[in-house]
Amino acid sequence: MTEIDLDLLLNYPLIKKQRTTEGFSYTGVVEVNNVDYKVKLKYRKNKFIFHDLDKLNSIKNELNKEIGEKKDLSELKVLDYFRDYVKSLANNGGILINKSYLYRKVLMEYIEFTKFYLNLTKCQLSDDFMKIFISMQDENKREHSIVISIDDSEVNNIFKLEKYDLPIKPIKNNSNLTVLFDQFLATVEVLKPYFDFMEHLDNTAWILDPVEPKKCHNYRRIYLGENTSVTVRVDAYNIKLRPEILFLGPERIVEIYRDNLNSNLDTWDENGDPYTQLLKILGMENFPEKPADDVESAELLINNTECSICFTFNLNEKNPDIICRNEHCESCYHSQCLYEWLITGNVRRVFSELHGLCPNCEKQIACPIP
Amino acid sequence: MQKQRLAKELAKITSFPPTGICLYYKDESTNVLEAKVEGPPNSSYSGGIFTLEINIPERYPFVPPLIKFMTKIYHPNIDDNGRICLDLLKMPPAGNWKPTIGIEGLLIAVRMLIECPNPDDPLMADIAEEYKNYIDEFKNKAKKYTLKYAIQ
Repeated sequence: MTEIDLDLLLNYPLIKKQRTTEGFSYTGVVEVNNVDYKVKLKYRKNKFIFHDLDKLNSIKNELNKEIGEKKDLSELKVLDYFRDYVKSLANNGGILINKSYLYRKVLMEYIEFTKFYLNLTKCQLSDDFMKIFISMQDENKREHSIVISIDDSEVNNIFKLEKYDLPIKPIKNNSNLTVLFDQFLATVEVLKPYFDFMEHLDNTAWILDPVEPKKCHNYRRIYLGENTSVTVRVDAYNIKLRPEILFLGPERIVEIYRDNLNSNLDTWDENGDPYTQLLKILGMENFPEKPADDVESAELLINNTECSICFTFNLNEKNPDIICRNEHCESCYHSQCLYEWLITGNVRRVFSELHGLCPNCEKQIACPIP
Repeated sequence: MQKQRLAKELAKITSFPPTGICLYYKDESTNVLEAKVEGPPNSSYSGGIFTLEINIPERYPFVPPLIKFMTKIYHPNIDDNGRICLDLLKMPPAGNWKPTIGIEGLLIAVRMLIECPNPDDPLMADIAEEYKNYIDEFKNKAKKYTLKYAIQ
């Protein structure tokens, strides 16, 4: 081992020197300010050339130019030069080096992407270059909106599908924006039978839950009768499989449905239309329709001018006469109801009033003593 | 007064049932209701359907209803007799019942309790210890109970 090799080992222990047909190669990492930087350096025809600097490739050409102008360089001096150069950059906000590389890549990919996809309803790159908003319509006029974010903790696969409305996360991070979007489109294509099925259900049955179905909801709770419902949960990627079916309701009614289902279970035909199959195994002709919003049912609902304790407006010919003074609460009470609640707890009597806490917001409230 | 309030609560819960919950009269003459609660998905109780019995006391809504599990369940806050340890089910100052809560709110709270046990205020000390220290074992047992008692 020559003296200079020993020096290399002592100064840059993580660099491996190898003889090549044309000269030498040096590969490994150089540590600057506790951060490791990958380095690939080559020596041939009496010249040193940085071959690959991984994250720092944006400064490679500049470095090669500078060391090309110097004469009588040793491998140690070249590596010293690299280290000092990175150190000075790092001290002047070195993270910027990586980011400029990142921004350039994002921008190039984005331009490529917009050239490739022309029929998007929305395509927008955020001002900080960290998010891309895309909306598009598929063949069936279904709208899909996604957000792709730039994951700067990644070295290569920086594009990440961050927000999407699909049943499960379909796609891994990718280094290529167009490829990532292609994968998303392919997933949408695969899910077409699932969208069809769910939309058919939404249009023909009375859906209790979710209240506003989205594409990511792979279940529907369907109204069957008063207090009785069935939850149908499908495998979005394989809609032909028999869905998971769960009845909810009074035992005597559910029992009938369940017996029906159990005797029909085996008739599920994976080649048939899933919607027809579902009705068949439930033993039904069709699902009960959602009634038009009638006034009576709307009136039954608890609205906020009613007493928050008895849930009625008119009680013994009296209307609610106390309103909570907290403007964020403003619950209404009959004094009779409020009195009856307050005396069960911790209250103070002040002249002819009881002072306690509003049962809704727990702020001070007063109530006359009858 | 109580009848009107219950009628409204039931009407609302029937038209807009909360996720995984349904409620109906078991016996109207004695003011006993029954609820079915779906085990929360992605929990050890998923796939199970738990029956709860709700007794409406005479002084409701000034005192909380009495709710208990009729289906056996392996849970730190629910005992062998189906009693539930939940602050909303007890009168102040020990508990947090308020007449503005209603049965729907309680059932939602119970479903959340199923999903997120509270081992620091246990009813079943052994199960709570297991939940804290041997979570895998706890999950196994909870799943076994669900399979055995709560699957239709």
